[in-house]
Amino acid sequence: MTRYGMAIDTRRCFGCQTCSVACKMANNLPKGVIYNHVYSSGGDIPDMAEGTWPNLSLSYQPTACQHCDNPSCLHVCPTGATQKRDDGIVWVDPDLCIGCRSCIMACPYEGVRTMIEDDPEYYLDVVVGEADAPQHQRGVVEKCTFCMNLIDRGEVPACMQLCPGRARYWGDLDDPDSEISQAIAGREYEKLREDAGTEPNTYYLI
Amino acid sequence: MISEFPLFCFTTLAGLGIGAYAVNAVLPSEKEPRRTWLLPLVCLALLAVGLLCLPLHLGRPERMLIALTQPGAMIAQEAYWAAAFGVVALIDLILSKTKGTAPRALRIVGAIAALGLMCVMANAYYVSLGIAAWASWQTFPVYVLGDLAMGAALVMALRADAAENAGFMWAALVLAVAAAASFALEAAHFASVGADATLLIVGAVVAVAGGAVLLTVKYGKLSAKTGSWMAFACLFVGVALARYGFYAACVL
Repeated sequence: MTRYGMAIDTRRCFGCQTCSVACKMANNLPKGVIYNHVYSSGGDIPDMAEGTWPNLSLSYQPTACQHCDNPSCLHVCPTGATQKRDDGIVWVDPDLCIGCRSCIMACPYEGVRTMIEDDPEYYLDVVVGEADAPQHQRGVVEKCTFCMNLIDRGEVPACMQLCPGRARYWGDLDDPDSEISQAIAGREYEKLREDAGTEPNTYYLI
Repeated sequence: MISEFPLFCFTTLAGLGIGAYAVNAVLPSEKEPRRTWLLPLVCLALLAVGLLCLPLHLGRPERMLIALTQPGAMIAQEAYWAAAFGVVALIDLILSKTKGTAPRALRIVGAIAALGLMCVMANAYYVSLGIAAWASWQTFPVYVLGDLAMGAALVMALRADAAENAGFMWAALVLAVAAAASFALEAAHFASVGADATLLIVGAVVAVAGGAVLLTVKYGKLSAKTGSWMAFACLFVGVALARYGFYAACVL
């Protein structure tokens, strides 16, 4: 059975934010809506190093929905808007979402969801991205869909397509020959907030 | 105003009702009071007002009907337990009004439903992993002890014999101090995660003041009637302040 996941090689990621931009363009995201953050190890300011000079280091952690096997957001949704597909993708049905933010509260991963409070506004006057990208409306919560519109026609997520560092790996975790299974085999990795019991499907190769 | 204001109203008002019912069931009057129906009526009314606030959390109240079909949703679990408690309290009210009393076993069942609802209320925030201030074990005593403490004080105010019963007085005093301690523990946790603990600390101080009023009643320094209402006012305000501070930690 297919179970999609993503691996991010933190040794190859150099914080260029291309994945965030690709995501924003492909999904025609409104102002203030970000599915994919690239956090710097030193703090909230982009490219902020950690440590004290001269002993400084800098690494990056791209963070989006972890598409967990046991998603806490799914259990708490009062309307069934948060759903999990058979292939493991967790998504929010905008027609059912009422914007109660229960999923935001339940999710242990910071900043992976955005509640669109008002009518969406855009930087550009033209619609960008995929024709079948999610429609955005006020009063709903949005998050990364693993670009399921692209996956359903045999492509890969937008963040994968444009990563200049080739830091991302994508595919079926249940297929030992898939790109992601090959990438994580024999490599040391971390998952975010494993203590929360959500069983995330995003691997950080270290 | 805090974004979770409907939940604040629900947990405080319904919490008061279920707390009073549970305390009254566990520490009943030695002789049946004249108006046995009064307490279940007040508890039911508080639950009803609280439940009216609950759907407002969903923006449009009719969405509550959808939520009831999602058993994993905390708001649905709260509604299930509230319904279970409400049915028992309603039967208690009818029996008390028509027959003058209700079976003790029925009230114990109601107390169990009330405790279940308190725990479900607390669990709704405990599972909010995205809000570090809420997702800790300290959330449970804040809700359970807070409800029981203000509930005991309400029973004292409504039941004339309670203030004369040493066992009841000690229980009410211990609950008031325990509630204050739970607020202080939660305040320490809030401080450890960088959340504002001011209202929790103020709530703890006001709850301790409620306990002090209970002591003055116990040692005859204050009349039972006046003291009971004063203690109730202190504990209700203390719990409400602490709970408001608790919800204010949600800044999503």
